[in-house]
Amino acid sequence: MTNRLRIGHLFGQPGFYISQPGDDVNAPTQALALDTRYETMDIHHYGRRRYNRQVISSLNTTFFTSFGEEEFPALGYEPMYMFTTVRVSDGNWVRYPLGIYSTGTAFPQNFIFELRGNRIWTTFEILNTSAPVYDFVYVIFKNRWV
Amino acid sequence: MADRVVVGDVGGGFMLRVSKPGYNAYSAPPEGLTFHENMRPLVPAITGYVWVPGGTPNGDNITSGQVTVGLGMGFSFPPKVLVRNSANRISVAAHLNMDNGQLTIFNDTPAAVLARYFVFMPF
Repeated sequence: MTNRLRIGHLFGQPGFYISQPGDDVNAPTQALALDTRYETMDIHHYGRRRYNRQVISSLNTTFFTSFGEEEFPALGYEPMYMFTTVRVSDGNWVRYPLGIYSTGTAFPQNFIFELRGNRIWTTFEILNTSAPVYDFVYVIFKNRWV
Repeated sequence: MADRVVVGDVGGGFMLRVSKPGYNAYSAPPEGLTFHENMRPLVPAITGYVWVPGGTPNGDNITSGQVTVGLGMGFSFPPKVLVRNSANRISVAAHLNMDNGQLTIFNDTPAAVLARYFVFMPF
């Protein structure tokens, strides 16, 4: 029977260590399933909200801009985050990666995203006159960014 | 020497923690811990490979080649999806229908590419 769980010192660092099936945790030959020497992304807060829109007409172009502000429980430092948008016209659609345009679809572009303290501010543009509706979605992690 | 690992009942509450060097595992803030009992990590739940056909030149543009794969579940909150082709270029993009879990991958190059997708579940 292979030892797969170790609580204590390994590689000179105390922690929790779990090896993959069949691999000896004390002398692993593959990546560990759990290795607390390293941080993992740890979710702190998340949200989804429909953003208001404003029509922008400039020269011969008309597009929409959306903006909003979110608040989350402060951590005392600037955390890591990820954000995206969900197009809620004709179902719920998400684009990966965000801001890349591709044939036949119109997803938000030109994001301005700012996080400070316990707030985030976001602005994005929708270059589509049929005016689909978007939700702003964000995940804040406990991991420190700066 | 700081206490770096805690397992068990601490003042009536369960703790399972590992701290970073220099932090006490009993009292460290979240940024000082690499593991704690309430953590919710981003889990890479679904991954797979799929061939995406090449796009078709269309004047100065290209009409994307595309393929749709089913992820086997719908989503109430958008997962994080990474898509890359086997040559490690970002010439592939994707969109996901959250209601039925259909992921459509687009290829903006003329040649077919082998794409790999990773779906990370926040919750």
